[in-house]
Amino acid sequence: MTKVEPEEVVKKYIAAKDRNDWDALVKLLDPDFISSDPSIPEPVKGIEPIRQYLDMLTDVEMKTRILSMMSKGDTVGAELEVTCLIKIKHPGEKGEFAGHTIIPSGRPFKVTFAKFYRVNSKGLLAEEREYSDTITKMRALGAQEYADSDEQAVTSTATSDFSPKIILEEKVARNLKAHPELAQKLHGVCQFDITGPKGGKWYIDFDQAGDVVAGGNNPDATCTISMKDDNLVAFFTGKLSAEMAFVTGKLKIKGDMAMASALREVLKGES
Amino acid sequence: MNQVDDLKAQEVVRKFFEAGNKQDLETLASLVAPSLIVNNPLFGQGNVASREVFKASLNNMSKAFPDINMHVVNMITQGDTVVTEELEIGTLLANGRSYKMPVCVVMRVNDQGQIYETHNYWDTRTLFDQLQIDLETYSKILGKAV
Repeated sequence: MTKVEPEEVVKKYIAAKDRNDWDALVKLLDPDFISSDPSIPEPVKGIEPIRQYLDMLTDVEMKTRILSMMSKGDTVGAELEVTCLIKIKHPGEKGEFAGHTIIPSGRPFKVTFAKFYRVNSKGLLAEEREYSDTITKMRALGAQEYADSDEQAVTSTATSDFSPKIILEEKVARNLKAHPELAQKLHGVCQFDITGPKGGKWYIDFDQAGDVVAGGNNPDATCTISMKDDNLVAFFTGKLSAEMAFVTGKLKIKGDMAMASALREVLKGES
Repeated sequence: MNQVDDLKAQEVVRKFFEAGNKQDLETLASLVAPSLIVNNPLFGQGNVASREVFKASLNNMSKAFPDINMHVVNMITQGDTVVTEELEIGTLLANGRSYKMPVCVVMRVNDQGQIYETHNYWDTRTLFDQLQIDLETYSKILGKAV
């Protein structure tokens, strides 16, 4: 029996992916194949989940350039540059990728990353591990959660009914009255410094009975949250997650991080 | 390149990781070319750093993460290129939070045994989520980094 070279298996796998030939691709995989990628929360395991993942790529044209590839035993390391084009019928058309809402640009884009593959003794791919930057990749795909705030403002029109003033003085205040148990869990003062045309300063005093939300600056704040007006609206309406806002610098926190974390429930709005 | 060159390239990169784990900045700086090309998801692609700039950047990194450790899992070499898969851990002194993150580093070594290009592949979101900081804060802590 001729020994299958691991690099050849990987090259066939890449070629099948570029052709969107999922049938040929899964024939190269071990039934217990595992694929991990930092932009996907959990590794994808087994043939059927892999097919479901690949189905998300049906409207994506991919062309892979192998920048370098080398192997040692059953392991192959490679640097890849992939040119992608997401096929769209209409500009601004929304799609979904790995749970994220995306608005593809309709233009080709390039992503560069590294991968390690393991090929088993049967000549089948048993594992692939991707090394890439989620934020760079998701922005290239057009994921709204990762877009710059200027891009988000252009693409988001449904949030125009909200402003920081309405969110904090009306929605959050009402939420705290309706659910006093939320405020009881927290102590101290949280200051909101909101920038932008609809920005301003507000604070929530969790030790105060009755109306806890007030406008202005409170020097006794134990936690200060700084955000741009449209990012607060995007956050309140569920279009921007706390994690992404924090990671991309759209949400800045000073002081009591535990309070900031607990505030998520208080600020939970309407999506 | 022949087999000897493969081994030489790998030896240089191994020394680099060993010196990195000891925070031996002098040795690290001596292992890179006078003009090092650095590709990094945070600070951009194709930045050229002199040894002095590279050393200053490492010094900032070392102060920010005093216990940084790179555990090499896989190392594959072909010609002048060494691809390393490593598990990196460290604690950010500024807030006491730790990170543990898989990283792939591709290094290219010239015939004088100096690393002339490095391409680091890792996920900024994974790092920032664990450290609970944003890019601006991270950049301030690290100063002028490459």
